[in-house]
Amino acid sequence: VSWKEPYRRLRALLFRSRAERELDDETRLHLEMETRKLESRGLGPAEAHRQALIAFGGTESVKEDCRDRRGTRWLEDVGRDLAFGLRLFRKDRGYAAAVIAALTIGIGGNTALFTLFAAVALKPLPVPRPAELVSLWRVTPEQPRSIFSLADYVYYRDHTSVFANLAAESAASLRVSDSSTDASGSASDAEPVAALYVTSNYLRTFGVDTITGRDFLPEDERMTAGPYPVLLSENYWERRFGRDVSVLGRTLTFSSMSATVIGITPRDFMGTRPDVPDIWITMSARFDSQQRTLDRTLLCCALTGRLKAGATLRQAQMGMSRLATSLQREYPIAERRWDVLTASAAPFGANHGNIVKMFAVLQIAMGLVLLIACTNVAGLLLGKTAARQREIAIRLSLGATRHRLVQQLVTEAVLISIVVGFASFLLTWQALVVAGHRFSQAWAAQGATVPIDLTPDLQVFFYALLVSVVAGVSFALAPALQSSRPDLVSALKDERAGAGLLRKSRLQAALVTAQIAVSLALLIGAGLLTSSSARLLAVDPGFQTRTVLNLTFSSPPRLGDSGDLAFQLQTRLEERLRANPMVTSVSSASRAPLGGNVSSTHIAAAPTDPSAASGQPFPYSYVSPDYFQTLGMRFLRGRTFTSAEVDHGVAVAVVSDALAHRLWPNGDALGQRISLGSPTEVHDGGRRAPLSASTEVVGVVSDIYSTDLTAPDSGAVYLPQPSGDRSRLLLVRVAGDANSVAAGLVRDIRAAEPGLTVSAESLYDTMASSGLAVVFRVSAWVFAAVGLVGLALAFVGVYALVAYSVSQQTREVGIRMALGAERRDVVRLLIGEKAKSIGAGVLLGAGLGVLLSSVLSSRVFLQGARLLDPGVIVAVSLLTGGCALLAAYFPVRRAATLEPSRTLRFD
Amino acid sequence: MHGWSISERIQQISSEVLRVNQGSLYPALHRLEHQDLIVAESGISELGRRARFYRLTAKGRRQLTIEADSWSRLTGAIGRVLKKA
Repeated sequence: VSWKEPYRRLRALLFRSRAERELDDETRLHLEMETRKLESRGLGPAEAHRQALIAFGGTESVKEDCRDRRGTRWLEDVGRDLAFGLRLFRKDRGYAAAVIAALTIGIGGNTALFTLFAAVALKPLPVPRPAELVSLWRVTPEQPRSIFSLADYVYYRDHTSVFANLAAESAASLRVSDSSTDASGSASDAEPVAALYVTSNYLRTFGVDTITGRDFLPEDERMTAGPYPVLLSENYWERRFGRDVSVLGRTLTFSSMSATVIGITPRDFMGTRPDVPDIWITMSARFDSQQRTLDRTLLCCALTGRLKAGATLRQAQMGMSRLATSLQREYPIAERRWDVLTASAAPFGANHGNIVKMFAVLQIAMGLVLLIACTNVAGLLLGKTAARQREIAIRLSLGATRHRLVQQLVTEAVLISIVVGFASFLLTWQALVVAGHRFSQAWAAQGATVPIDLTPDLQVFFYALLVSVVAGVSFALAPALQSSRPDLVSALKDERAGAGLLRKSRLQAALVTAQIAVSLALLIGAGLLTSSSARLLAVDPGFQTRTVLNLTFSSPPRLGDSGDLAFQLQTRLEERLRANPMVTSVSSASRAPLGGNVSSTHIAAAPTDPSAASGQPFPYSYVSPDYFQTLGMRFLRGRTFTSAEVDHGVAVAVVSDALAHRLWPNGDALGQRISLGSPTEVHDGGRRAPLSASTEVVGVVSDIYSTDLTAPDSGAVYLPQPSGDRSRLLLVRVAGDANSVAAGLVRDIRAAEPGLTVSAESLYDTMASSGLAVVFRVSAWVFAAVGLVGLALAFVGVYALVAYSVSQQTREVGIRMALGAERRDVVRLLIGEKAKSIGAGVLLGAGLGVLLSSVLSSRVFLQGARLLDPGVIVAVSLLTGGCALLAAYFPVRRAATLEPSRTLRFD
Repeated sequence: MHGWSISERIQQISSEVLRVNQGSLYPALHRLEHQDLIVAESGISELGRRARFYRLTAKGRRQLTIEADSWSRLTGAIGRVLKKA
């Protein structure tokens, strides 16, 4: 075969008509010459022509032979098969649409989800040599993944032999003000910033450099007073300063700490954080020098290390475990035993595991949909190929080769696959556009910048195409191979009997059962998640949720946000609210229960050793005296704070029942004293941390769920909110439903205090937007959507399968009716047969659903979920079974309404 | 030379011993053309009709020599075997 071959083939294909014409000319000329020759020997013209034709042989078969030599044969065949396939689809639109829709949903959904998954969790960190980066966790018997103290970090950093660089980070929410524009230097602007305290080698560890300005220097870590060096992320630099280069060198104030901008980090660089921090401050601003070297109990820092070239994760693990052991030997004062766990650094750091789990749950659901789609298509194709058995038999008896026949069936399948590939790519793309839009909205609402790239790339497109082609070809091949070897005589005579039919009807029953089982399992999963998310919100958290408003506000600088002005503003607001007849009680607090922002500190029964932090951490909040009354919490012992105690800053506290029992298991908490906080803690997210060696317990209140919806607080302490403290959060108890009053109250305040930003929602809404509730709601929603799609697919699939099997039984139906069977009897008989496989599917599906729910409620996925609910399982099973019976009923009824004489003459 | 005259020529030269099966002639020509051993050019035949005229290519000539050699070797060998018998 020469190099001209492809060119010649192409020419032969493109100029097929010319080649054909030449072939015709050649044949005609030959015959004419032959005829002349014979005529010259004395034959009559007609006889001469006849003899010439005989000598030549069949002209068409000679031409056909010549065509074969051209080598474009298979291409022409493919073209013809494609045209035939398209004609078939046009003829049988319902079938083509069903197959294409089922596969598109299955493949498109899976591709979209996988793209999302890959974008969020599977892509390596966008830094040089990401495989060298390792995340470290401190492992104790109670906490499998906790963070480190700074002192421990220093020890590891100074002694490690496997890491080229070991960096520490600690997140905080600060408030920024620009001291160059605000001469007083006070916090005049309430804008929050997401800050990350980092060690000076942080950027170097990740292999990232500033785009302008300088990186941190090692000596920055030894600073003891401001202004501290700070880096801005490019995202924040652009958003807040409009890429103004003059911001470099300017001194800003972050929650009363002054800091000088020294550089800008590249856009979207976020280390292993879940979102892009606004600013990066040197770690020395976080603690005083004593704490840096001494306090090993204050856990603050997440560690990331870059392995030395050639070092493995295994070596890192062994090295760090050894260091942990020697550290414990050197400093035996530290609590209990711990180890260090190393793992490859992944995007979203500590959340990576949860994100992977969440996607795993969704991927299970999507995988099940694909499974339904596949059974669906297998059923449809099976019915279709069986129905075409006669066509295939005719082709075979006319001399088509088996190879040629399989080629045609595969071409049809590939045709479907290509359409499906394109359609599912479009679906993927659209789904991702919508998802990306939703995500960026949700994140913007939370004030977070999360860069994820959701444009489906070519890789994903080819993934979809490959999946669909492989699925299509394998579905087509099995029936094609089977049906290209039929018994020609009986197929032509349309005798559908014998072992083959029995096997096929069993396969159909199995497909019906499988589809129902899988879609029922999905729906059970959806039902259980929905009902448990409802149950989660129906829990009594121990405080009023429907009648209490969570009102937050922030103000521009001029309105007075600092010192006395802020206090006056808050007082004015409280008075205005109290004057409203709908309002029954107003209180302020540092946080709303279940509203996030949980702050914890070490609490112990006093007297304790004042030199070190001791005891366990418990959440605390600063509240005004009427907080308990506003929320409807009960006092078990004692009383709330008096205004005298608040004004004079007396060290008093109210503790929760659980904390009282924990600290004084056998005694009365009232009148006892507790110690709070660590003496060395100086900054805590910009908020004042409590510190007291001896605070008197004046009251014990009922337990509430303030941090987590799954369990009441294990202990909580309430401290009097100092007068003048600006938390910008008011809790307002109203008469009636809080949400219906909210709009009026907000309008009222805006009218009285123009320029003030106010928002209000009921505590119920706060609760419903808490993390776990959202996770439950989202996964319930996804499962329900996916389950309904699955049910719809199963409905179509059952309908098609039953319709096909009934169509094969029309003769039987005709005979029965001719012999006097009532229509009702026939329907009952046919439905009864289908009901068996449907029933099997329901039983199997219920079992699968129970299995699925136990997987979902296991500790791995949704902790705290109690999913098993027999009521839901029974209800969903009945629904699915009913739908399937309905799907089976239509074709059965149609078969039964046919005239007996017609069904007997069928075909 | 076009197809018909090729078959005529073969019959003539072989004194009517070799009769080309006319049905196999054209597929064979197409195959040879495909192997670049002959080329076809369109032209007008003696009857004034369009026709395909075939001629050997350089490659075809070389191949012919090879085939002719191997044929004469084979027939020579057969002849020698028959003489001995």
